[in-house]
Amino acid sequence: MRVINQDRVAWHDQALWALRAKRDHQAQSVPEWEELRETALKLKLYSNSHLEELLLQFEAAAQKNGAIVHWAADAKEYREIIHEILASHGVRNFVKSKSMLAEECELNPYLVSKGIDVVETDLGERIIQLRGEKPSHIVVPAIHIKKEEVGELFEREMGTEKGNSDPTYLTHAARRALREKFENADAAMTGGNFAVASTGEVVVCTNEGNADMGTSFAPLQIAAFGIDKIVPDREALGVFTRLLARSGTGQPITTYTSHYSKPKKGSEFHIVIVDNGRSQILANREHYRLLNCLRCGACINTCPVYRRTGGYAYSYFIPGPIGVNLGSTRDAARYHKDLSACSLCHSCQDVCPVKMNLADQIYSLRQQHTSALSSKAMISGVLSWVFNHPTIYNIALGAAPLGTRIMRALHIDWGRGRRMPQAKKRFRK
Amino acid sequence: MTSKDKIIKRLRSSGCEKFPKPNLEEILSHAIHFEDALSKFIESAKASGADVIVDSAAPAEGPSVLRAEFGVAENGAVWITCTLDEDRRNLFRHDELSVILDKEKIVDNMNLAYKALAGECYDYGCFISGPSKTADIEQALVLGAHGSRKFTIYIQ
Repeated sequence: MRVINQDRVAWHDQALWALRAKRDHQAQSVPEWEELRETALKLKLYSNSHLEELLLQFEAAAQKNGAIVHWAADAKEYREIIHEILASHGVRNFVKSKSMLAEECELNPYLVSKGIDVVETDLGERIIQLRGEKPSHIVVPAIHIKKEEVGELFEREMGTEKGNSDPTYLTHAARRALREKFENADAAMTGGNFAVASTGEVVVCTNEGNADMGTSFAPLQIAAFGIDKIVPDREALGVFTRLLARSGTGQPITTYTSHYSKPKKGSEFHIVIVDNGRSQILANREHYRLLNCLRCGACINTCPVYRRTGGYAYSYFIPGPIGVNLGSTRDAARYHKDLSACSLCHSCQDVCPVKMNLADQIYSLRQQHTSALSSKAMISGVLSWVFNHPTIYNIALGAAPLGTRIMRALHIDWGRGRRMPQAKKRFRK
Repeated sequence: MTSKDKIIKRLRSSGCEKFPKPNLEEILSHAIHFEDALSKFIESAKASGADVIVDSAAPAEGPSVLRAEFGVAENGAVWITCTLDEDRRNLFRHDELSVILDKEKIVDNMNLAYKALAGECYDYGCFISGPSKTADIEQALVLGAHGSRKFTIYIQ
């Protein structure tokens, strides 16, 4: 059995809770917060139920701006379109800013297999890439890594001083190393936080400025996003930009909210619109609201299960309440085990900026897939029998401390941190 | 059938209930308002890590000194558009970036900011709040990730 490092669990829990606390502070500083969430929900319900017309409107406006628009029905087509754009321009050096769609569609390994040097430029993503890992969180991908580990990594990869794990020192070392990559890049790619139907522009929110260092220097620009990123107009951005960073990282707005409208002079701007299962979610009566997600990370930060287990405990590439829902809605046979990673505390629903009923949907998914969760069903069956027989219940209760003692003796970790305090007085005979 | 046709067809046949477009006038009228938007802007900009200099001579406009079109009181962001590709690079490449902002041009919140931008046309635009930053290493805030390390707003 894997031994859990309790200090590390507490450290991870605290780091995430700090984000949640910052989110609360920001939410409380906006008197109309609840009305904003309600409006955001209505906007998403509108845009996702009018996707066909909004996407066509977006395409026409983007083409008018001079962008080249592609449509990808699935992950394979997305990868091929991007490779085709890069190959036709002879791109070798490719800088990328963070995109969960690229993770979803496994873009990097595909491009690397085609001989393209893909460089992640968000600091957290770069750390993950150099370690050969996957993000453990959708907004703060390296939240599970200690600064000492980053120090050792950068010492190997960038020749930083031995034993120096100062975050400022390490960040600036990465800044220098990536400057070189930006200046020599043949092409730059971003995801998209929002795509504005009325204007054809793509909006990207970052704190580091990596999306813009890439796209403003490289002679070729690509932006790829899922169909659910469509918003009707700029006024809608007024609602979403007030909610996104406040909910996710607890900032009033990200440092940069970049609006890409036209290509640079003599250069091409390619936009890739991706479905990859989203239209199927839209057709799902029970779970179509999952498409409303802004990918802010608030539900992940607040989730007591995520905070204590981290992103790698989940089988789907997006962890936390939203990932549990998306994974099981997309492919229950493959990801249904994630459904047990929820205590139904409902905290996620309270913080979601588009008021998604994440915990209710997890509950509903559990009902649909109970046969898949046979061990859970068995435990529930046994417990129901125990609870219905007071004598059995009392015997079981009396035996419980013995059980934990046996587990401890066998070095099973389960009982750690769960020891019963010594009772001073008995209330029941 | 092209992928575009395929996606549009899937969406049309999704059977998803059609929800009406919400009226945003209501949230616009309820959105946060500040009696002294300038003071709030300065407070928010400082909180984002920016240096703010009021009513003193600004440096001449140049590669690392650009003009902002307006500022947003609730978050200290300034709106900048670029027509020249060189200016797009200038916004990010310099260690120190300065912007000049007219003190009359401050809106209360993002709802009003985008209302003002509703009919505008630009090649590239960006809201910038403070210097570039990251907290990707153990959530420790570090200024100067990839963009400017220092960001100064001259309010005139």
